[in-house]
Amino acid sequence: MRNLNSIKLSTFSRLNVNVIRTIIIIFSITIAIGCLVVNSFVSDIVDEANLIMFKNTDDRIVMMNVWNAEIDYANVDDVGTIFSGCEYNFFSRYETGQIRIGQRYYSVGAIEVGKIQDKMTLPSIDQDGATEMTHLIEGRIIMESDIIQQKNAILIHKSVGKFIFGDDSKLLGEKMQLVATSDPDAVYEVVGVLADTPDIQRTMQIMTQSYNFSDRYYKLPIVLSGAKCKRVSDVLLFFEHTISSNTLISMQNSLVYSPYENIFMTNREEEILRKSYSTPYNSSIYDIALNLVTVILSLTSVIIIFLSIKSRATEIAIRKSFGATTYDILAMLLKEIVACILISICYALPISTLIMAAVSAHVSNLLYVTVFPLSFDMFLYPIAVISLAVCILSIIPITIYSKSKIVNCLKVT
Amino acid sequence: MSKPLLRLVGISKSYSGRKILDGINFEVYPGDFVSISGISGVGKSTLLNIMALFEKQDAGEYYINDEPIPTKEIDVCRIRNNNFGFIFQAYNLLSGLTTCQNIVVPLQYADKEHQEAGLGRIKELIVRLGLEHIENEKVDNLSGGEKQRVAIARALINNPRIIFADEPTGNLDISSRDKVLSILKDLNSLTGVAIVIVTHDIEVASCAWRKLKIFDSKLCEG
Repeated sequence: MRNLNSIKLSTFSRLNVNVIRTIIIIFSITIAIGCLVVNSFVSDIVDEANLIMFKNTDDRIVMMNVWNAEIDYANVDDVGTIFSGCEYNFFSRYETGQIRIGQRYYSVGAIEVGKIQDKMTLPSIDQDGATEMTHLIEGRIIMESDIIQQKNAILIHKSVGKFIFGDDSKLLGEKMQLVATSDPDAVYEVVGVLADTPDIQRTMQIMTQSYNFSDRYYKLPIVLSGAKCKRVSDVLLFFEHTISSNTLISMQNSLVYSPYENIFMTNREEEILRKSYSTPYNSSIYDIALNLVTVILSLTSVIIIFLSIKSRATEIAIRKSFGATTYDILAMLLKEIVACILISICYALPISTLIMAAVSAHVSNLLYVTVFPLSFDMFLYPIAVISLAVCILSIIPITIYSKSKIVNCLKVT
Repeated sequence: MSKPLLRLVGISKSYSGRKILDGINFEVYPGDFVSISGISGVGKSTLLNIMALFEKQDAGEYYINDEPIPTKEIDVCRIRNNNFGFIFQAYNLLSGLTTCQNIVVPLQYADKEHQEAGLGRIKELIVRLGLEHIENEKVDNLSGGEKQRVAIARALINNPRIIFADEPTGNLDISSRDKVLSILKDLNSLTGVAIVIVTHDIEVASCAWRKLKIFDSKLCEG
């Protein structure tokens, strides 16, 4: 006796009837997924590339934080974290005194003030919640006396220290100013040097560890590209709407004379940065374009699927006349759509990876080598969104045609 | 006398205020070969659609195996799958699929028992209907007569108790028509399957044992 499956009754075999239509569906979904993946990837870069550092004519380091294109001091704090300098067993969040990420509280062992060892391990946590360990390689950590005496002490990572103050600098005792903090005029003294953390984006986020009023440290990601704000005037424009006039004046004073005199840059780096300033990259238009393409192609897929289902109204009616229920029809057509989506994913992943590699290569031409390792969630979200959208929107026409009268859809002559 | 497979009691149906069927009483028994004829637009196909559960009547009762028609879609689908076979004038085969794939379409929606029995019948049906040479041929490439024979095989695969045929020879030439009618007659006499055939062709109607016609919205002996 034959097996029903051996007669190749898989619903997918019907797809060859509509080859062109199927190819268009797969193509549209592929590009839509690809666009969304690339967009999510680029957004990640843009989100990270938010802090621009300059050195003005008074040799003061000025850091400006542009967080998601909005200047917000709170965000500078939120970037952060970090570890307790006193007898706290918990990380502290600015508002609550504790760092809570999801449902977990992060704690560190009590650090007894005054009994700090040089090689002590210090945990830190970045804005994504990844905990990393670092340790003091020179100097000291911030002491209680610093708090009492209101000294503005700062710990700095070795690489960022070398970057800011030069390779020959001793780092300890160097002074710097952090503009995008609650006290932008304060001058911080480097009291300790930390080993670089093996951060996932370490090459982008050179960290400084600074002391904050609420007994904690925070780190500032320093990125010298600033995808959204490549021109200082743009940055200042952002600042203008969000920060106090005093701070703005102070910042303008810092920048007005020679905002591009970044003496810590090499000539090549300077040239690259200058080049990127001269060809401003309008990320918002890029975002809109990618999103538009994604939406259009997703809708195209759905419309073609709709037309495809409409053209198969007779088939639906024939199957119903031989006992298929609405559920059977829904399952059969959804299987085909899911098959299209799966094929699309197979194409979309390598295509989007190639595009991302190209974008990444462009980004790496900026001052710092930027490494964005491909992560699963970068793909998962766009795939889930497009797949669900196409499937859910397809259910509507399928249900309509499955529910319609059989006699209306059957060919009469 | 055996129980009727299908019983219509006082069935009425109107379209846009025009009464097409009015108080139709009709029964189909096992082994019946009934033809329903009448001029175009008289309501033959409407009556067939109601019997095939494609449409609902406005008034009247409909019983299958002496049980009223269920309201749930899944139960209606099961009745269609287990009891009925259909032959359409336009064949209504699934293009892109082969003869064999078309024949087994009803089995996809059958329960396991019917499925296994149907799979065992494929070869026999293919031979009986002379479809061996086109078994793996795509139905799009077949002639009208061949297509209708495939449709007959499909209608029989689930071993239905009644076959509804709506103008089954309407698109065929005389030679193919005679062949299809001969097959239907043989099936009826050999297997005992009841056949209800709707046609406006007097010659086709004359093949049936019971000849009925619709006149003035009523069903009467023809």
